Amino acid sequence: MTTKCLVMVLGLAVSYCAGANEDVEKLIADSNNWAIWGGNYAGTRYSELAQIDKTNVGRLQVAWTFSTGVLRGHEGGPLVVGNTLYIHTPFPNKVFSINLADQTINWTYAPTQDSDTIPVMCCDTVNRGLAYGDGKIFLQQADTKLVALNAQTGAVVWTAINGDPAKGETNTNAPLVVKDKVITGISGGEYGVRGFVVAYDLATGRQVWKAYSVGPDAELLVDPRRTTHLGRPIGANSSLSTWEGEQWKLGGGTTWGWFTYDAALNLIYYGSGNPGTWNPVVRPGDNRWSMTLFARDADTGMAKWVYQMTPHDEWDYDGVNENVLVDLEVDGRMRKGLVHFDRNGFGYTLDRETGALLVAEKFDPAVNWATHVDMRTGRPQVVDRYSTGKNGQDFNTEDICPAALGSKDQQPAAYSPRTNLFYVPTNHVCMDYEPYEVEYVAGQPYVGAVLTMFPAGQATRDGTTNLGNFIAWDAAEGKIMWSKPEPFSVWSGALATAGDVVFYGTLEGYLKAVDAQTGQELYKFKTPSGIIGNINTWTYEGKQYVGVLSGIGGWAGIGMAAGLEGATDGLGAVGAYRSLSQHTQLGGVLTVFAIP
Amino acid sequence: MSRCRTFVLVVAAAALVAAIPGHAQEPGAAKPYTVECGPDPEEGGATVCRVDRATYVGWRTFHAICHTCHAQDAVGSTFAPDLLARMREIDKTAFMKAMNEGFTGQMGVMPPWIQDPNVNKYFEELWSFLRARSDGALLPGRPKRLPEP
Repeated sequence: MTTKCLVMVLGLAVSYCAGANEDVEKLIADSNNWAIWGGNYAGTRYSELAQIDKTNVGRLQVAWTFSTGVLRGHEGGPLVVGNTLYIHTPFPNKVFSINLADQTINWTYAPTQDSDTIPVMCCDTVNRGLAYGDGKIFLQQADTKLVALNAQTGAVVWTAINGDPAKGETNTNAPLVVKDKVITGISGGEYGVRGFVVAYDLATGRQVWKAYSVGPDAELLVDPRRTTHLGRPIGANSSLSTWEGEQWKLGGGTTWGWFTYDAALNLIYYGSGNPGTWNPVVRPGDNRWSMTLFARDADTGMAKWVYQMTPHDEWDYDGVNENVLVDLEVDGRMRKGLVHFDRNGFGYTLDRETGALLVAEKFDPAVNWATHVDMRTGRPQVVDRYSTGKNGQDFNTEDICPAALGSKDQQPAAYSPRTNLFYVPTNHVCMDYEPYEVEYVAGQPYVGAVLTMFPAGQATRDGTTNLGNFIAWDAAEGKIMWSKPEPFSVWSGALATAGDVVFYGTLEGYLKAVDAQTGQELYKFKTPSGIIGNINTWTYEGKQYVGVLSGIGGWAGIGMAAGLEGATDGLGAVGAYRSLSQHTQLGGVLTVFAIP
Repeated sequence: MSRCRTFVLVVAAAALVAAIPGHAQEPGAAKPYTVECGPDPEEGGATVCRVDRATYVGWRTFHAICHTCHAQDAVGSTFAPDLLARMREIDKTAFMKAMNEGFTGQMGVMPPWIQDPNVNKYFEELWSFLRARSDGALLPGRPKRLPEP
């Protein structure tokens, strides 16, 4: 209403008022741009561009490269708006605006951040990228400062402080611009941080709403009678009643993953992370709403529905992975679907309007901590042997699949409407997990579990040594259509295109292109460092380009060294398995490909 | 159980590490750990290390906190050093100084662990564990406890 009124009264205000949202939607609709992390609000990471297709992708060559000058893990990917490419780095979170005409730098933003932020970032100082909207570039810095930069000049328009690193609050996520707001979350799940999602005013940076994952109803932004869990109202004190005493204050449920948005429903979608300490014994109850998918009204933050995937987590299966919004036919009925590949190893399909659970199946056959998900209650049926809570404190529960880093972590999947398949980068790693008593001190790690990780083949004893798979998934059936083993976890965001090519990156540093139907490898090129970034595509002067950020690090950079020393031999694969450091070294580089 | 078989060839690797010249040993100083590795009938004859209380507690503290940067078995990650090598370069005084005051390296920043009650009680134990690892005495993987004397 406000927008309309302003438009009528002030002719000059038209472009501004209409701006924020419609501007982004227009840019997104034009597949010559890559204007948002997921390629579109639905997060499909699909492009209509088809110049590069499966007949010619084998002739792909490097067109140009750009060094970020920063070491450590490079997650996320470039945004392209018109003739400009925007790229970010890990801590200290530099931003470069690059002129696509000659690859010169238009402007650089280089913040000064307190180095005390570094040690409170659990798994490397990654950043998952930028958001564009209203002529601004939004950067969510590690020190929690949300910065709006003038997209033309790089000048700071406004800043907002989103948290306190002294309490372990940091940020790694990419923000999302929705209408006249910019949405962001918080990291710090290993520091007892209580997670929340915040909407800031796009023009001023003023906080508009803030919704916690755990705690009292008023702070959750839920309506006990209208907000539903699998179709039923959640009722009063839905979170508080699932925690003992005041434990919810250290209740976790951080929100460091990706955000997607459905404009027709005006709902934003995201998931929450692990509940407080990793020791489940000391926090009885379902620990709601950690490990939960949320659908919230973009204007008010009010939750329409929630779904808790892993009640009372005992394994660190954060629920923050992306929610891809796709309409699909399930059991003969068209649905507005939401597809989510959780750390816990289940691929979920829900109705994104109602939150009804439609499909929940394992997307890695190694997954063993639960037999299945009860479709009526939505609860995973936990296998006692793998219950670290039942086995108790100071007991080492062995051979749990997946490991804490999940069957899939933040690396976003892609979806092609041409094949109706999801292309999912996955981990194939299992673990031993021993919870123990831990004391909370603000700003110190609040973990309370000892864990060791190793290739899934050691737990399944099937003779395999691969730590990852790149799979194609039918989300209506909940079925793996094909699976391509990779020696290491596949930790890069995938890209699907109308050329029926799917791209992903590997930890050794290969950019790979595969046939969208069969998974057959069509092209590979070894970039300067291991890839944990996302692959994006755009055009410049009518020509299609594909770009990827290399720069090994992140949890992959730790987890993958893990389990390798000594993990080589017992399975009869002597010498086949070498540590990641023998394949690649550090260094942030954007590599851009084209057909010459 | 599943990792039992993996230990066998690691023994050779550990022997190599131990044979590297210049491996720091304080002359006359007693080793801060007791480690006995050998075939374990409970694990189907696989090689398993048994350790004293201090080394075990050090192992556990390390794999609850320190491993998020320095990786399992202290082998290092993309942003924190391999402590098997680093421990050969520093003495106990330098180690305790880093634990108390923190350390700013070329890649990362280690906080002063004196502020963390889940770590600051166990500096001696971490010293025992890391020395056992860097000396090549303790193999990778989860150790068992030796019977209390």
